[in-house]
Amino acid sequence: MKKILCIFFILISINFVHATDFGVKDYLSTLNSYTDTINLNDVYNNLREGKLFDYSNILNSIVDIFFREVVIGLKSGISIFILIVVIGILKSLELEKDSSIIKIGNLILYILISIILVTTFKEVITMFSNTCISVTSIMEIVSPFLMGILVATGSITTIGIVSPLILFVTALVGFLITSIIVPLLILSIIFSVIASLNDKIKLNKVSSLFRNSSLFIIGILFTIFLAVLSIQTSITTSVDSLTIKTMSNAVSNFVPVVGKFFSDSFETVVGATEVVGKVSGTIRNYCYNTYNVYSYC
Amino acid sequence: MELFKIVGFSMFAVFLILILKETRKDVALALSIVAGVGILLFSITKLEIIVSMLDDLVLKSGINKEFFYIILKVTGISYIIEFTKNICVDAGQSALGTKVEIAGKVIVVTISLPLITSLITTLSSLL
Repeated sequence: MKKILCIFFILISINFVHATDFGVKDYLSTLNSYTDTINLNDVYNNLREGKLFDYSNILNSIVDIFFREVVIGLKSGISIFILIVVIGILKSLELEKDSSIIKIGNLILYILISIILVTTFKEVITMFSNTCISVTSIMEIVSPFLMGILVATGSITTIGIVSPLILFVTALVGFLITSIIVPLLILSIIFSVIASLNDKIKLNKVSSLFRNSSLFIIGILFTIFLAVLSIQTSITTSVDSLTIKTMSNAVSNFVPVVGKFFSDSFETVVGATEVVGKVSGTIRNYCYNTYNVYSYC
Repeated sequence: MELFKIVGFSMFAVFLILILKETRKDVALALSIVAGVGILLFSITKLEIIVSMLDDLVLKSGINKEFFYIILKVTGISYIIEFTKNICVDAGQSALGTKVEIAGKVIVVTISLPLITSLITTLSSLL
């Protein structure tokens, strides 16, 4: 029944694609809004007519696409640096150290720096949540097709167990990140800005509470996600220890903030699944042997 | 040779004040205030070079220029208020000095209101 349904869906999707000339034109025009330097329609037409397209712009546009946020961050860093130079020059001209009017001046300089920082943070956090939403939606769109392909290649049991679970977990993780972790981070930033405006208002602990709780939730989510993933791998294929070691080391060293969580939870989960696998293997061997013994008798 | 101008001017003023202090205290006080204002006005002409350099830096960094002018205004006001307060204290009117300082604070806060509102709007746009 499931197989028939999946084939039905694939047929429907193929028909849909045919009806809109493979949808390539629409797809390219959507992609063109993200690539400034390359016109993808030209590339498509050239390839169709058998010409080669221009390679020279591609590297530049790749750098432009992937390092746009880095450039934004660098710009704000440079402006903060210049601001600090300006403040240093102005401070060296001051008359008295403990004058109360100069304290107000310092507060205003601090407000200016925090405005720049908060603006940069806003750009980063909107990029983060947008990426999360789009990754989740792509996962939701692509997974049924992947399931169909898996069915077509014959691994029906894997589909039955794994894919609904993974779909559910990806949707859950994306939803929780956009609806809980991003607001928590924003709250923590707001509280830390307010706390640093005045020494007498002590809100640093609140800000660190929000930040730590968001990190804690991220850790739990990663553990759940890895548990699901490694259950899948232990059912279908075996994970050898070299891969685990390499992966956990690489992740804990290269991924910032959550990399340590990720590698720790990954090791725990993989160890647990190995134990489960060994136990089940022993039980299976035992059953097999007893069955053999009984059949000989 | 601005340095020697300032040194010579202040030395001359100091000697004159020392001489006048014995006979006419009021004139000595007025002279010291006038000399102080003169030195400050002289240094303001040099301050223009620093401000134009900072202006150039800010133009390169792309910070909002209005905010930079607010910083400059706040620093200038704090100079002038501090200077006036010191003159008041020197003349023996420290009560007046505190009032001048309070007025300066109020002016600084009024000038920096756009900055504070912009901070609040950026923070509230996050939510």
